[in-house]
Amino acid sequence: MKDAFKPGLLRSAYDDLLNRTLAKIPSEFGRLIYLASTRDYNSGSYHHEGLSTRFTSEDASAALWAAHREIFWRLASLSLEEVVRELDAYIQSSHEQCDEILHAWLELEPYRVAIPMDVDPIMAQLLLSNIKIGLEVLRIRQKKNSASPSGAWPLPSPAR
Amino acid sequence: MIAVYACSGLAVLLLILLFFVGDGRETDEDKLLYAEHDLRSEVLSPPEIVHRIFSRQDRRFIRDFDSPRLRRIYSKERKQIARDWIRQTSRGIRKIMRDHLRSARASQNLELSGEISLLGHYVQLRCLCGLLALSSLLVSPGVLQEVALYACNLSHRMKSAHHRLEATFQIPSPESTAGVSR
Repeated sequence: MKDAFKPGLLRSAYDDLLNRTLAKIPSEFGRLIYLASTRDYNSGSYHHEGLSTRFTSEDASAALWAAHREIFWRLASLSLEEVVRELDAYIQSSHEQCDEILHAWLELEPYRVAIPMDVDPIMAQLLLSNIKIGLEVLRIRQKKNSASPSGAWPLPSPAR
Repeated sequence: MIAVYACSGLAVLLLILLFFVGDGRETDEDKLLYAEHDLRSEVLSPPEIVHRIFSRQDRRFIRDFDSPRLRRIYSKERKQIARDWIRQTSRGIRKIMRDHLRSARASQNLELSGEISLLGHYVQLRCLCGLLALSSLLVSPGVLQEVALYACNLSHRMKSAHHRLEATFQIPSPESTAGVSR
């Protein structure tokens, strides 16, 4: 029988999630989207088959919730330049065409569903806005890239 | 002498104006959006986020791209968030003050210096919110970083002061009040 909800077990579930699952995802946006995908759209609760077999479903759900908020907080605190770098890393790791992802993200704004529930609305607004601006930056770079003969993307401008 | 009175009067008028400009009056939509949130968690954003909203580094990053469209999007987005943050802060401090007044009215032991200091924080913050609201119409949020961070830190200090004072309040229990009235 599984133990009742305990902070110690929650910590273990959280570490397990970080080490076994999230560590394999190469970008912060990838982790955010993955964690959002473990959330039920109707109830808002989190489910993870693997974690639930090793821990209680309550611990698994709480660990997913905590990790989701943690990554959201990290992304919302990033500078715009870092957001662009993270978005770029996510797109590069997705194995999809860059222009297709940019088009879909700018058009459909699917990243809106990746925000955890009950967070500071200003923080959520800031992250969504930074993603929107970041996508525009990447679009401009892609345009320049397709216009220039060398295939390399220009590096972000150095921080002063 | 008349000039001194005129200047003082003007300064007072300006302060009153600033006090009410950053009022952050809620639309019905705002009320729906924030009602549930306010009940459950913090109403004041952390300084790290305020630092990002009013970031100069981000402004420089965008300026380096030779794209008027990008600059326009950035400016519009950041001004909107800055305005929403000012409204949220204004709403937050008014909520703190309302809660504080409610508890203070019932309390039998008020710490006068603490109450005056809290009121000072409140008036200062309302004026700062007004100043920020007006300035955000004219300049980029990046220019207002220091003032915004000061207002943010002050709002957190006000919240802590409210909790500290509230913890010392002696509120009579309903039984003792009933005993007195009998």
